[in-house]
Amino acid sequence: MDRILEVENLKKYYQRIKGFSRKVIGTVKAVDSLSFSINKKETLALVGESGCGKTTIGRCIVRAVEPTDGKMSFFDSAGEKKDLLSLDFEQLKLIRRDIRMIFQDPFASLNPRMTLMNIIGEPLKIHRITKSSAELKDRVAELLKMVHLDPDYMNRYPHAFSGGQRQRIAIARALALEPSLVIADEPVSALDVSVQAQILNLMKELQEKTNLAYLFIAHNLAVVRYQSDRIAVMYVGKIVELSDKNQIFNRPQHPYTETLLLASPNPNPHERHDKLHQVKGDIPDPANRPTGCAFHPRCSYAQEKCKHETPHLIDVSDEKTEPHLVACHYWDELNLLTKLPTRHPEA
Amino acid sequence: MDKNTVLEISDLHTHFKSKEGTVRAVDGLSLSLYEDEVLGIVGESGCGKSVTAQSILNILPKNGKIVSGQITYFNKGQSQEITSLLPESKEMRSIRGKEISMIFQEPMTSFSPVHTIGNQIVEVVELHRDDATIDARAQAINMLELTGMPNASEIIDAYPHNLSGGMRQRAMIAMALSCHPKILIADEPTTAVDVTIQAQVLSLMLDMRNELNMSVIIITHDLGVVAETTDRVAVMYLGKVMEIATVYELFDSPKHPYTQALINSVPKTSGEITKLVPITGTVPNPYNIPAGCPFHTRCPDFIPGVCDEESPIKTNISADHQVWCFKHADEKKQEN
Repeated sequence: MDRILEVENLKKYYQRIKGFSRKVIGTVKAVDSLSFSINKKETLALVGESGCGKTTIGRCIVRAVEPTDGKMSFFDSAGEKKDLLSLDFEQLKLIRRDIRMIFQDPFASLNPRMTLMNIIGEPLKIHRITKSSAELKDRVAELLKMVHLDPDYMNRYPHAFSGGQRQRIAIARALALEPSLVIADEPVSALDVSVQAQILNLMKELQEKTNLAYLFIAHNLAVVRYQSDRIAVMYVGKIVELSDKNQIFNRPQHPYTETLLLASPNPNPHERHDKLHQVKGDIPDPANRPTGCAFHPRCSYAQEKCKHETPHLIDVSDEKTEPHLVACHYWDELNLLTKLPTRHPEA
Repeated sequence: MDKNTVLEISDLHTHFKSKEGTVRAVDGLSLSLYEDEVLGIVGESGCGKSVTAQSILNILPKNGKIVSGQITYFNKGQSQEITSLLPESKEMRSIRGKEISMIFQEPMTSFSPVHTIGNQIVEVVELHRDDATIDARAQAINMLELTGMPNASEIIDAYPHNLSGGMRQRAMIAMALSCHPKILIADEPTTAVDVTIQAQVLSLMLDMRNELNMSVIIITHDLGVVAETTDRVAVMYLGKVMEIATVYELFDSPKHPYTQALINSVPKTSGEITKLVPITGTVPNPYNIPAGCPFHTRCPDFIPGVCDEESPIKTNISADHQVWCFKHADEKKQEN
């Protein structure tokens, strides 16, 4: 399959600094040796709980934050491989036409002093895509139509719109330069349920129309299952499992994936769990990552080896199927559940 | 099942005044809460679910006011009319925190940052204890232990910022339950925490309900949480209840177009993946709630001349299932 992005051994460490002397007292490994790739026209989801580093990855890809180490290659529309980390300012500007972002909170990501025309038209002006103001206006109108907003709203300000409408504006801005990869960082988490579905469907529709690939960053498993093709499950800076979404949901191989699946409330009372699945303890502080497998203090299957040796991400699929990467020492010995016994007999 | 009502809300109207006008946050709400049940209140933002909770405890912000309606609390054969009490009155304060208590969404902002967890729980116990010889500190440690807090005797002297989000929510539950209330109101108790912590907090609440025999009202926007924890559910939209049913009936045969639309618009973690059907349009401006049924502007079954003029009346589908919708009012008439 055609790749659009390859990430190898990406690392982002933050120094913890204390006091006036700015003494370094430790390192936060927000993203730690992470590798994955995104294919053309597909949606890869990154799921995980807070502090797992999923947002940092998105920011590293557009180089909004500088990675500490690693390699990132992007394949542009001509199929040419570009090393994202060696680009200079001008080249980076060009690449950022192809890689765009959508943010979580549409109340914070749109400038309240700019009209929709300016918000959506700004990238077009910066990259000199449109030649005249009439052409710019036409293009903005077209983009607004694409996200199902009335082009007549062009001269209004963001405050006149609801959360869902604002997220549409943010999507129109992201698509203005016809990117091939869009990084969507929790695009529906701040929205009401009835509006979430509108945005999810719109994102799918636009993907079909314009052959986009998405890196979809989210914490809600049900949303990820609906939206993505492949899923990478993250825990404290590392990918613990990566596979096709059906594999992840039907045959999870990592105990943390099992935990997430069993803890996610499903809107179906007939599948109500006998007892809500509980995993002990809290999410570890990334500044103080447990040794070995980071999940071992909370894992009910953990053994002595898990405390000392860090498991590597290995392919556990048989040759016929899609790759299924898992980072667990004992994946082949575990018999993981996807469902717990239901609480009540059917009413 | 013999149902004893512990809380009865009838025709409650709570309004908020501001420069731009009046918001009818709760607009004719009627609800009953039975003994030992978990009642869910679901709805989108602005539907009045949190204001309902604030009305019950009489802790509305200054610009909010209960305009009309009754909230009656029943206890040991006695009934107490909450709406007639002043927020600062002795009677109200003896109910609030003792008989009815509440858990809030954000445990960081609902604890005082300058007092220890222990002092804050002890304060609640000392305020409400009948017998001055009760050791409030021992009771606080006891409650923290009950919520599964590891080394409770040390945690009691910690400040809220020392604890993680999940731990703070546990401490919040310990504080809310320290006087063994009859009713616990949980307003979006798990919206601010991660899934694995959410599972811990929800099961803790359900375990405590069994332990202390109380009724619980869970206010949430998450249909997954509703399906996972509640016995009965009320669906709210713009200050009005649209439908009340047992959790199974609500998900198996939702009657109100809003409930149906809500269920069809959320993705699920199991079963076949079907295309989500979003609800068209957006929630109307609260200053300008549509006349008649508030949902008519977005409703696929909108009947012109009916839904936009009159407010729908209650239709009983079964003993435990009520719906406020003209579509079903008509069905009933035809059957008769």
